[in-house]
Amino acid sequence: MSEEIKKDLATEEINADSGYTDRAVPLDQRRTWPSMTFAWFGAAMFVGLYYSGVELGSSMGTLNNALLAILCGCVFLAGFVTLNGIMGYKTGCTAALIGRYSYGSRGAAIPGFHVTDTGWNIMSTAQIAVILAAIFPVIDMRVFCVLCSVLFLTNSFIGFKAMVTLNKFAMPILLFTGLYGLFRLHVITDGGLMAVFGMQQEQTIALGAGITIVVGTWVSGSSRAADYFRFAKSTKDTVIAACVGFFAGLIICLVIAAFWGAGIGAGEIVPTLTTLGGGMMFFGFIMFTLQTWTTNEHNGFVTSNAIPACTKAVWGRERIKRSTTVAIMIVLCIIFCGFGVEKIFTPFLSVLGTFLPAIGAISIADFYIMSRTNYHWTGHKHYYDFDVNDPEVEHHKFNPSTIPAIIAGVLVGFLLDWGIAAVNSMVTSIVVYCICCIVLSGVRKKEAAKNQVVEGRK
Amino acid sequence: MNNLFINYAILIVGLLLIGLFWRVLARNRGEAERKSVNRWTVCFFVLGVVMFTIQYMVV
Repeated sequence: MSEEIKKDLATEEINADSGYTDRAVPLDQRRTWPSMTFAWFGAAMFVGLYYSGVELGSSMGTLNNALLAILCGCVFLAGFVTLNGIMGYKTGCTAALIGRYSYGSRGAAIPGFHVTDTGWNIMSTAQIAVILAAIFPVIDMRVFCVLCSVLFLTNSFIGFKAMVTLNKFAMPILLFTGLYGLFRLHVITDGGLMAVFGMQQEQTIALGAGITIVVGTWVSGSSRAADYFRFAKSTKDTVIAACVGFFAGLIICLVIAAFWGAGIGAGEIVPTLTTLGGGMMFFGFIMFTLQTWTTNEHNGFVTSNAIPACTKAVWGRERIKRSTTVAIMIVLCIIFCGFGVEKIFTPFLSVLGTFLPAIGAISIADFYIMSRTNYHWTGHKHYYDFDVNDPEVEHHKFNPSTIPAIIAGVLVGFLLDWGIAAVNSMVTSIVVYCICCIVLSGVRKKEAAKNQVVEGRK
Repeated sequence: MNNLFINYAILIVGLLLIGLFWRVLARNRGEAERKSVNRWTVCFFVLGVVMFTIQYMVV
């Protein structure tokens, strides 16, 4: 074997290990839908869904209202994941890298500087610590905060395959515990499960707010769907994994928890599990631990992909390694987790559900709409056919149309009292972005002139 | 006071066990990476104990 081939193989190994954060995933590394579905089914489930489901079930008046909010929210999220996932499959790039097409090679730092997954990591660790402390009352909740902060990001150093293995354990346990919980609810409720539909609770959450809470649970991860779907072999694999794996994992958790919330009437998960009885605390302990672990690994995976790409966009080279990014996440989690952050869970979801769709919508609008017209900000048509490291992509530094689109989307999402904040925010960003791309012809002409210079060099 | 002692003991033993687990996982990695894992393990140990103490006093 020649030295050159050896060197190529070594480089390939390093890139495979680092998860192809700096380039497209080669076609021979792509996977079919069963592997992707497993990963998404497990990753979709996390403790926060049970918190949200129980709260919706006990605060939306009737179970039917809660189920409607859950269905609408899940359909929105599955659509958002599919749209982002197809972009990942087509380009083979992480969400942060895809930002180079729509935001520019420097502007990619905007979607790349995605600290929300770090926030999620802290939030879900605090939530599992509360549950563990309820199960083992002799141990302080803050001890669990520290231990889980460190332990639950271990596999982020190893990579994607390890996550699939962990998810294989999490899935059957989750299904069993969820269904067993429903059975327990059926046993302890007069009239069984059907009677839960007739129960009335005080309505403190309206339908729109309920949908925003559901959207908020997963909008952050959904905007990073490309991180996993870049490993997909085809559009079909992407759609099946999103609509079966992700949608099923999400809706199962939320619906089960909504039943628990509506049936028991407690807004919190620990008293709900205690009331269900029949060993639900024990099964809940195993289920929540595995769920939080897999979800935190997901958070670690996407953040450690995004931050190095972000530093590369700003400084021209990767200033932070993947392992260092994960270590910083652990440090932040240890520092903040024990200060009772789980108490601000619902406001946290509302902010995420309003803010993040605006950022994600720009890539979607750029990929699905503007790149197919003659009004793309770079002056290219079918811009996504270029490799992400092509000089044609590299020399387009920043797309100014993204700024008004983000500002308008966020403002409308926060200020408009009508409809669903996440949808308002997303639609506004898409419309404003497309208008700005068409109106700012000066930007397009300037970028087209750069294209001619690059063409001339060739 | 007994509870506090138990909590510190569980925290320290837990962090040590996680550190060992990390060492096992990193045994097939390069020298630099193993050293990095060791450094971070010590960092998390110290930070974990310090933050628990602070949180215990403040919250």
